[in-house]
Amino acid sequence: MSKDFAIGIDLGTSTSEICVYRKGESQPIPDPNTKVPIIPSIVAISSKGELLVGDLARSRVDLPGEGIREVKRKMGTGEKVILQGKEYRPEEVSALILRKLKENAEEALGTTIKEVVISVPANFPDASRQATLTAGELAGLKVLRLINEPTAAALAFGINNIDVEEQLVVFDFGGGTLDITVLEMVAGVLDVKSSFGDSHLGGKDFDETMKALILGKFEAEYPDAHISEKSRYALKDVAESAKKVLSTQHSHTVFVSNFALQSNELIDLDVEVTRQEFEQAIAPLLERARECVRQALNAKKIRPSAIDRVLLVGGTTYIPAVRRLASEIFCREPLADVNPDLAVGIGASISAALSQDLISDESSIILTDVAPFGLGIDVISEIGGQKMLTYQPLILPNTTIPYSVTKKYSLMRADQTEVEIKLYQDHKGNARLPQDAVDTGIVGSITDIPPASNGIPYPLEVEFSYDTNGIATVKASIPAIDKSVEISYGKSASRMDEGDKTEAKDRLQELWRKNEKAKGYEAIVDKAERFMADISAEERASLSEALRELKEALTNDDASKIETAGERLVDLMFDLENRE
Amino acid sequence: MANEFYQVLELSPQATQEEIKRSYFRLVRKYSPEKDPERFKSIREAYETLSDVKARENYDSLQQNGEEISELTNQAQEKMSEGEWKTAIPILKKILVFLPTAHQARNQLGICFTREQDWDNALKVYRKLTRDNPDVPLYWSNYGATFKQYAESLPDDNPKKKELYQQAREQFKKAIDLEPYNSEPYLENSRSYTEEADYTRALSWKERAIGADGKTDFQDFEALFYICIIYLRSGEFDKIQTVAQRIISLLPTNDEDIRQYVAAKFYNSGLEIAQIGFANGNVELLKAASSFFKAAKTFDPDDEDTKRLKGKVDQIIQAYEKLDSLKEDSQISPGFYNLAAFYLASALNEEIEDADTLLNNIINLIFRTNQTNIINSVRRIKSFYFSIYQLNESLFDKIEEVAQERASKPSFFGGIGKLFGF
Repeated sequence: MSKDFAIGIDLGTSTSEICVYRKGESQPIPDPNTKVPIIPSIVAISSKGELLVGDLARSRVDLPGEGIREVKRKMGTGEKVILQGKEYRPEEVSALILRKLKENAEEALGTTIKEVVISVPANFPDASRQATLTAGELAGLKVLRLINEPTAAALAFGINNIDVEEQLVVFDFGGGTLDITVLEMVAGVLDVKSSFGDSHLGGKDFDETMKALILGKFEAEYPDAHISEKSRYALKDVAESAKKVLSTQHSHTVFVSNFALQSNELIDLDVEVTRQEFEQAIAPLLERARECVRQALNAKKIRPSAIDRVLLVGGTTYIPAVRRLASEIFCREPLADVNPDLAVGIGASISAALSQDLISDESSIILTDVAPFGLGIDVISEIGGQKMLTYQPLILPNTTIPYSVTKKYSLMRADQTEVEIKLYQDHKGNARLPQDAVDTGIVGSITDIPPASNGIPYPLEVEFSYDTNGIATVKASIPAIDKSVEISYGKSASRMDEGDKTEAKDRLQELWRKNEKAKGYEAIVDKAERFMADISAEERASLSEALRELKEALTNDDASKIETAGERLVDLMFDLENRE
Repeated sequence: MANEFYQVLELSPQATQEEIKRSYFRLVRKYSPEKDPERFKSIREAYETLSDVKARENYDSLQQNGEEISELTNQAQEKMSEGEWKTAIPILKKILVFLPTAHQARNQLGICFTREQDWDNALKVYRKLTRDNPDVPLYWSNYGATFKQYAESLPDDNPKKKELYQQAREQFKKAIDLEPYNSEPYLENSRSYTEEADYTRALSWKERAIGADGKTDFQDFEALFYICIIYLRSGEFDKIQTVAQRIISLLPTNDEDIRQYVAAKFYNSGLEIAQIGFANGNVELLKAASSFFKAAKTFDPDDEDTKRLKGKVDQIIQAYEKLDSLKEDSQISPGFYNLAAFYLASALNEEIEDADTLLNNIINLIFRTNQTNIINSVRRIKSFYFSIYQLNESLFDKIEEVAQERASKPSFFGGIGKLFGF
């Protein structure tokens, strides 16, 4: 029987959702514990060794060394995170969140899940996209494609408004990033015209501002108070909720008992913050948001008045000042066309449905997308009579993808033996020198080049391509001697290779030992694993299935499952030990 | 294939903008990026060109007159390479009639007008070019260069000159804003200030040129050398040596070719300046020349020509500097000052009227004193005013010799000047 559903995941900086498309409709899947379809993107490991993901991690996530928030901001950086003294790659932590979402959906749908579409910020660089694909793989998912978050949100709108012909802007202001995307919808095609974002501007920055505001007020009152590390952590949570409260109320009192110590006396945090104060404090953040809108519109010389509709997406758009900003720029009230929290996840599930042919041709939506960044290489050029290393674009920002181009260069000298190709990323499309652009660390070289016999340096061809997942490949070749090199993030050093992935999978597997209840099972699990080599294939299959179930139950700290899986393993082992 | 873009979008070349848009969206539905990425790429490429009114005009024109345009482009190229600017102008104009967005052709037209000194037309071309392409630094640079060359073509007393230089600099500044790492427009600004004898500004632009690419290296030699020229013009010769030191610190080690190149450059400039100095009897210029030779010597210490020339120039400078104290020296008998001045003047190429008579008179004046004084004076000149002695060593030696002979044979008299056939 062919599958009748499709899954989309919004893997967000502060919250994540999983949505299912079935029978012409897309629905978010609630968390079985909280009954809310949104889980916080947080992971913690308690001192007892329990792995906690989502809502369960809330109480521990801010304890030093126990939890991790906003891991999305680290995706693709190669930076490690530490949980209970152990190092994890951001891909692994994201994989834990994905696995939690997967389990929620499997429980709700009563079936296993494999194929998914995951959304990423439009301004996510290549490395972060690859890291997201890896995270999916580690979670046991097959990622059909990555979709840009604003595009997904537009899809959530477009699928129900297929006959609409207008220009729209998606104002996607999430926990970690801001993406402004301009689209044109005609004949059921959502054509992305331009996209511009700030990958380090999101709800978290508003939280930080709120934190500073609260702390500033407190310290003005108690300049000599000592605030413990723990209190500072607690402040994160209250700042976040103060921000949320001020979206509906005009003032709010923040209270934390025993917040600080002054002259051996415990003092409570008890300050009032008003919406006006908050709006003053976030003015610089709003200015950055305005600049993003300007850049997105300027990229294709679109006037704000030409925009017919503004879709607000992401939790940060609940802030009244942000809404005001959007309506002020476009001279129109943003409409509640989509749910700001769920639109991206729903769009991702629709994208999954589209790519699995669950939607009939007539009612389907076609998407185009653009490259959020320019990419280019460094080339020596003569500037004012001097030889200089310059940036040569291969693709400009906001070029519609897929895209490919071939450019011709030449080596410097006839006796040159090596040439290096280095990929740079240009955010605004105006880089002229490599130092104006960001070095992606993606590099390759052609070596052992024989001297050119005619004394003329060899011509060099650079073929560039950018696929719909937003992943770039550059192939440089010297046709005359039939030598070439291909560079892409997939081949770069900062990515996880197969060995890393296997290790990570093992590490995730071993997380079951962190559960306190594991102590009682460790010996039998180890014995069972030693047993594996000496038994028949059939026996091995059922044993490994039992092992997997138990480990999973322990990792998820599911008491009843642990018990049944444990019993099953003991039975199996007993039978094996006592066979004739 | 002709009109390929229209075929890709399944349209006729007469299609309206609305039809182009409709067709694009219809075809993307059919050949989506997911289903048929290659087909999609070509649909998109066609749409990008045809949906942009200017790009479409360009495309249409190339489709209709493509062959003729490339033929004309070749012709213009050929004429320009032969320096036939005047013939190239109508060809380039024709290209621009067909293809108003052929910016390169327009730039070439500007170059031709400039070469023909047709300033008004050249400026008009660049005004349009920079307005249409405000982000191309080359066009701003050429615009500036046109103003500058216009200014240079005018006589010094023309009141328009100053304004034109100012205009030139404004355009160069635009180029600098776009390409701050290109030293050329900075150098241009410096040159125009030099022309206007505003050496302070000239120097500051020069310094900015050197730092333009974010580093100072041997590439900046030309700029540094030009600073020397500015110091020459402003009369601050002592600073030339400082700049030479700066150049030394930038010289790549172990690169003999470059060292010799730099040395030759200083030597040739020094020679040129020295010649002007000699011709005008200007000791100040000789001092400048000397500092150039000195610099040349630091780069290529073994070059014989440099050594010899520097020696000669320095000697004259020293002689000149010693002349005043010689005049005041009571232990020198009369006539020697006149002799030194005479030879210094002739070393400096100064025209001396009736030189023979003058020299005879000087010699006679010297020999009016008693012989011991003469001998002592020559000896004193040798030890304390060596550079003056060097102006004509053999003559001083002969004077001493004659004086000694006379001291023993007082009867000898006669036109000593003629003995040496000066």
